[in-house]
Amino acid sequence: MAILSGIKKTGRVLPALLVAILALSIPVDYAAQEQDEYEVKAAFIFNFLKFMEWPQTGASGNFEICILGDDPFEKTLDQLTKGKSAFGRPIQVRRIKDPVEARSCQIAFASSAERAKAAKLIDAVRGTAVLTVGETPEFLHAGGMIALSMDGSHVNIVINANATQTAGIKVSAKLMSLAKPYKSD
Amino acid sequence: MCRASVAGGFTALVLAISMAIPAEALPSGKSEDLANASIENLMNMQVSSVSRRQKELRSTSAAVYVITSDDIRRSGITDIADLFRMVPGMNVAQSTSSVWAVSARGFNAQYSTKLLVTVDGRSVYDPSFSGVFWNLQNLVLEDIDRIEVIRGPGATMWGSNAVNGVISITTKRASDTTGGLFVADAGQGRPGEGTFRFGQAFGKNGFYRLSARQTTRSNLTTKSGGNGGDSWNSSDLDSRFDWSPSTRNSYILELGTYRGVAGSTQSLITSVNPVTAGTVGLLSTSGSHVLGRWTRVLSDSSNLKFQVYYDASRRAGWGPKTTNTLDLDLQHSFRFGERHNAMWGIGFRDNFNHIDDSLLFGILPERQHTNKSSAFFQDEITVVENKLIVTVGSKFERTSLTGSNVQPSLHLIWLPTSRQSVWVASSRAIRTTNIAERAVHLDLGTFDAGFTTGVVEVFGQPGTKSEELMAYEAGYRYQVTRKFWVDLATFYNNYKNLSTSVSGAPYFTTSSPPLLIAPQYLGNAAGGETYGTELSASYRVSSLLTFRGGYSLLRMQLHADPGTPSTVESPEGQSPRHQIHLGSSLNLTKYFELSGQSYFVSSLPFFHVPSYTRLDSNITWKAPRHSELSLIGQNLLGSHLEYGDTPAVSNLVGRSVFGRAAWRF
Repeated sequence: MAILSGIKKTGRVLPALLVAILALSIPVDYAAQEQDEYEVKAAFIFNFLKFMEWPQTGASGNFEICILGDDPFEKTLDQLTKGKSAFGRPIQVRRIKDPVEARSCQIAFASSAERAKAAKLIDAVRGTAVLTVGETPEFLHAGGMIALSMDGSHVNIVINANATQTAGIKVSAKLMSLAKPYKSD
Repeated sequence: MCRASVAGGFTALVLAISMAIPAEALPSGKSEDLANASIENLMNMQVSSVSRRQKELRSTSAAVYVITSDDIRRSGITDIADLFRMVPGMNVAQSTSSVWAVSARGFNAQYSTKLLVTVDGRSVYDPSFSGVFWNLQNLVLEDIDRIEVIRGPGATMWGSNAVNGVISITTKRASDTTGGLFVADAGQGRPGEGTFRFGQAFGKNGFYRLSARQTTRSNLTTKSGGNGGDSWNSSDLDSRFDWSPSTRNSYILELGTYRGVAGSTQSLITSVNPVTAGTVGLLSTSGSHVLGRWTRVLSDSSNLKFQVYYDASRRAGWGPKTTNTLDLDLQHSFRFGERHNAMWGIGFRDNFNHIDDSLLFGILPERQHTNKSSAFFQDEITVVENKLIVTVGSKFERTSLTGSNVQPSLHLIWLPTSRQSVWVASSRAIRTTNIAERAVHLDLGTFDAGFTTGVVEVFGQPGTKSEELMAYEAGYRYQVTRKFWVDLATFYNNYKNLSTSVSGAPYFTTSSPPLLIAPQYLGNAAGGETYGTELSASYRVSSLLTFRGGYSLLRMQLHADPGTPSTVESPEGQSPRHQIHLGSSLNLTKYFELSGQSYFVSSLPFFHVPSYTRLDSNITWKAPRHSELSLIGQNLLGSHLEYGDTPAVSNLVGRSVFGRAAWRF
């Protein structure tokens, strides 16, 4: 009996308690939330524009950020760059299927799901000023320029300085100091 | 009635909360905030990989469920075994303060034989008894990064004993646990326990952490309301070092040690002349392990992993036992052509057991040395890009106890749209027979045989075989929106050579006075089919409110071999047919988090354990100065029984309300 009445009591008290707490908590505060990985990675890519310089920045037309194949950003990169411009050129996000299409882009991103195509992308844009962005150390090893890799619950930037130099893309000292250098051994 | 109304009230409440908060409660300026964030801010942001994991899951052709560190924190659960209650298809039943029966897809038992468990790549499945002692895996839960649970066979990758499921526990990198953490719990059923952790950078590219945990549990209550005699104490110390001298090379070193004492009222014969029945009393356990791993990126399309560990554990008190394991493992993954993602590996494991022989219990010879060599390959073939992937592979093993075996699997996944996937799989897995089934003798209990005492004695048989499974699975996943996804898995399992214990003809000993021995012979005298369905769904209403739920159905049809009594079919009634889970978590404000989990488990007819509902709830206040205060309630609906008395007596699992203080520095 004692146990039963205990249960009955909990039955009434617990929901009442929860409702009370809920009522006290309004208005709800939206701050201090964890960010989605790809929202943050999209913000990194957008931020690169402030810390990098492309050789033919005098060129006209759109400044193109291309996503090869698999698109983990969904709409975030589009929302982030909507109505914005870089080096006086409107930013456009373009999805591409064939690595060769990346030659006309300024930034080309290959997600970790596109490992098989990543090496082709790097080969396809060799000798052009396309900033290649991937997600893994393997991407840098294949000659990619930047990896946005996860280090636990933080996003790390690893920069392959040899590759950016060869392509003629200038990376500011500030970004270099914040990023991890790529060490091939 | 009362319990139903509480559960109903809880559900109604949770639904009411969900409707009160608009589905798109995100602030509109969010992308603007991110666009204006500095690189430094972005680097310091806590990032959630939920969407990526869901995406990865969508293209996985197996029944996988991932428990994240956030899920663990919000669950208010303090014992690792209890975490698996939220996983569809798994059954967790607590027997005593320190003993849990945990299984996937049926055959639940206190020493569940068909579930493989690894912690950072180290197997914690004890091959001498075929099972996992959950009280010895008393990890600091705050150190866990994620737990991947695969229901169904995983033998192609993990090898023998990954029959009904595989649990892979991954701890956080040391770089993610820098600084100090102090957690103290006190309240009902736990007079005082806590965790201390400290970590920092060392050298140029390295990090370390040290974690200590003290667990102290009071006695549970017996079915008749008495003292359960099962109090439990455990001290655990773990450390991890991560070192990445270059982008291509990384090293991990882990060292851990534990010591624990648990009470057990399992009845036994304590003396043969005269025959006296007693209980196990105190069981003390201790152990240590060391693990090292080297990962190297070989090229843009391949990497290599080499791992070695040594694990020693010791049980004192009843049936003294020492187990030492040395394991070496090499894995190479590489891509070739445009469509192949391949992996192969070789491994070697050496097991040394020493069990003191006595008249009452032993495995002869006392020293048992077994080893296992293995190799595997697996190829993930993209047949149609982004549409159809076939994974084929096999494990090849040779053990000194049972000889060679092959455990192949074939998985196929079709992604008709970017949001849906359909998969099918067929695999073979075996549960290797163990030294106990081959050579144990155990005096289990006494009975009155009229003019003398009867003794029930279990005998291992030299010819026991490994249990075999052929599994056929299918699943469907649908990411309805970015916030709502559904996962359905279904299986049909066909078992051969199931392990059984069958009564033999009683006989008298030649001792004086003679004893009547009622022998139980171990063997493989059953087969059977199991089938079932597991449904899970998650709905992230907003970044503040998330619901998760699941339903599992399990049917088991075992068949005794001709001439074998039908008692060997008893596992049918030892796992629940229906299970339901409903959970919600809510960030009330920047400072308050509230979560609730309810679990329904249907009856276990064999043990006469009625169905029960378990309700957990907790509220956390994120206080100033990096501190947190929580009020945690486990089992709020009160005492209930979760398992039977085989082999250890099961006590009532009671309500526990306790407070927690956590401080980060």
